[in-house]
Amino acid sequence: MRCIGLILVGFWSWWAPVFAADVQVVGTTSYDSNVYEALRDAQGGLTSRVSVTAKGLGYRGSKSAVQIEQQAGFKHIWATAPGQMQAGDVFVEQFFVNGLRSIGQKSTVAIRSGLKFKQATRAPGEESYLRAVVDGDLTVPFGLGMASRLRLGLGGDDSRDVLLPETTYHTAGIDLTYSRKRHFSAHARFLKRWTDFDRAALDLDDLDQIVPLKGQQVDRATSLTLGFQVFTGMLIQADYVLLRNQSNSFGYAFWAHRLQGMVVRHLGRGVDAQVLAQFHVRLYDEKVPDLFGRAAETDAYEQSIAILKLSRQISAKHVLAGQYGFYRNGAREGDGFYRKHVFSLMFEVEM
Amino acid sequence: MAGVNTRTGMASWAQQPRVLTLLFLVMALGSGSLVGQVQGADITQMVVLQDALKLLVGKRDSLHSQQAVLQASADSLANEVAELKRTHSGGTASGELAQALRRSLALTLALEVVFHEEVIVGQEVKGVRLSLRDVYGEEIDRLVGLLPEHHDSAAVAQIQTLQTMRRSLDEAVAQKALPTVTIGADDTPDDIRLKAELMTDVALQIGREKTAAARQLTRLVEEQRLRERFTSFTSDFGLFDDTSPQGRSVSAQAVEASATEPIETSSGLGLDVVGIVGPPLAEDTKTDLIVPNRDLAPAVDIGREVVLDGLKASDGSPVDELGVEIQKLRLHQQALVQQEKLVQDRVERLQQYLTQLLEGQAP
Repeated sequence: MRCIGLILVGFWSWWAPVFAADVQVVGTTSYDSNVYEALRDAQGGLTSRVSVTAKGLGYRGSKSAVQIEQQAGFKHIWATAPGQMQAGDVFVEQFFVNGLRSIGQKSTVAIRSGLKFKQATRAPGEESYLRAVVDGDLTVPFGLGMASRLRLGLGGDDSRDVLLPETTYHTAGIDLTYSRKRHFSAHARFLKRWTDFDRAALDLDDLDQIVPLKGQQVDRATSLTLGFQVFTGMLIQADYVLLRNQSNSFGYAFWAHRLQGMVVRHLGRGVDAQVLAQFHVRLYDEKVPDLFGRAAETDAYEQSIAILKLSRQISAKHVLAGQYGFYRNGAREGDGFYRKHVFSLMFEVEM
Repeated sequence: MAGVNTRTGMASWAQQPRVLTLLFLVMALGSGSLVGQVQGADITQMVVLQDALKLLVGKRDSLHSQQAVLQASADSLANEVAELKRTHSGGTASGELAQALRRSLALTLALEVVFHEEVIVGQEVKGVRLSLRDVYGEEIDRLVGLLPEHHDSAAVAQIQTLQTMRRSLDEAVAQKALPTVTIGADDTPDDIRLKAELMTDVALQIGREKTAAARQLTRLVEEQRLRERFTSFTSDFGLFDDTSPQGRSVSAQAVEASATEPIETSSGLGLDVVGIVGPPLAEDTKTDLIVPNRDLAPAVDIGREVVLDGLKASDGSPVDELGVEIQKLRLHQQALVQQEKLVQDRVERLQQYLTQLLEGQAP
């Protein structure tokens, strides 16, 4: 599968007809205080990464448009991971084709397809996989800036890492959006997602032992997202997601809450600030005892992210930026989580 | 255990990511062939509408001429009837008068039919004009969307031609034309001065409009830049999975030795005796956990599991509406610059004429 992935990536890199595309190259050098996301004995180090994004309209008609986007990235971790002889590398390639077609007076039908390939070498904390997603929606406006959007999607992850389950999933959902003018939009999304895992489901037997079942794990997640985006001299976006995951496998049912906020604004003297804050918590239904029979610290999971980026346009096509990021990921209590601080210097070029 | 005890209706064919890859390929290639047909349809629609409009306008003009001829005949007949009535006043109507009256009735009926037909054709013309206007508008938007950053003069000329064609269709909206100021042979210096002042006012008005457009353009460009920063900011995280959550992973660590033959995990990082890919073991407990005997083995292994969250295509329209608005405003700004130049030229000419008039020279 890895070979097929590489061939496809190579083929698309050569073929991808990003005509009259906007091309952006971003070079980043960062100091990461926990470069391999270790729970203990964090190792700090430098990382460098380059990403190239090419995006353009493959076709633009009066009633339809096709957008093609290709993004490739390479990351080199200068600090050698424990037990490795050489420093780690990560290569990522993703490719999207998005089509939109107006039907009738104001309704639209859209199809989005994406393929992503990631290969991590000697880089604990990074995962290798091939991922494909196809989804489509039908948007029907019903006056006063309101619209409904029906969604259907299908996807799969072909994993190359123990920390990444192999899955196939399909989704169905409906959005209600309000957007009378470009400056304000709000949305409510109800989504159901069925995920099939390529691993046996688990059960708790009479002896309180976790045993595998004959069937494979199947999860069913239901989420409700509420969000808005407003532009009043600055761009503000906020989303709240409430998610309920049910599973036929012991230990995987949970409730989750995710809150994400983003602000982008001009500060003056050509400097733009971008702020992202995200808080995500999962509360698992089943308590899984640890080796000593105590309640495990992983019964609740928490992720917190805060990022501040300052960008300055130094010429028509060049942007210099500095970024600070704080990441916390893992168990909510105890010490089963990692923290890291990342300081980055970025140089962006529009080609 | 809150659970889903039956498999969902996920079709087995879709369970292999390679099937999805193929599906993706088919859809990507299929969309290309679909849009090729659509482009042809749009151009055909414009030509069909233009032809239909030409035919309908021809028909309406013909009906109009027909109506004019009939009206002239009716007027002439009315005069004839009036003359005949005057000649035979007081007496009974002659056969000549009766015949004229019958002809008049027939003419009135014919006029009615032509008028009715003209109304219908007029409505059809209006409908086709509206449709054609929409098609021109869509084509203008499409071309504006395709305009490169540095304007291609041919493309701009094409857009301006389409804009002129669209304006010419718009009967309801009066065209915003510059006031025409001509110099008459009997114009006094005061008249010329007044005309020059009028043109100066027009130039000032255009200048104000240009400033407002420039201000609006600055605002839109800033909004576009901030929105681009937003997209670039989020897509960078998506690419390297910087924000992927790492939830809990649970797996049975060991079972009866007879359950299944050990198999090697895909990652090659260790043996998983039941074929379940388990999480990596913590450094300090790794040696304690790999125990084949159930009595001694821990029943469960818990750890982290990465949840992918990074392959999101843009949800919005691939058509950059803000970009189109900016391009339109830029074109409007260019038109204002040209108008301002034209008006200033007229002001200069008027002032030159006035100077010559006051100096007693023949202009």
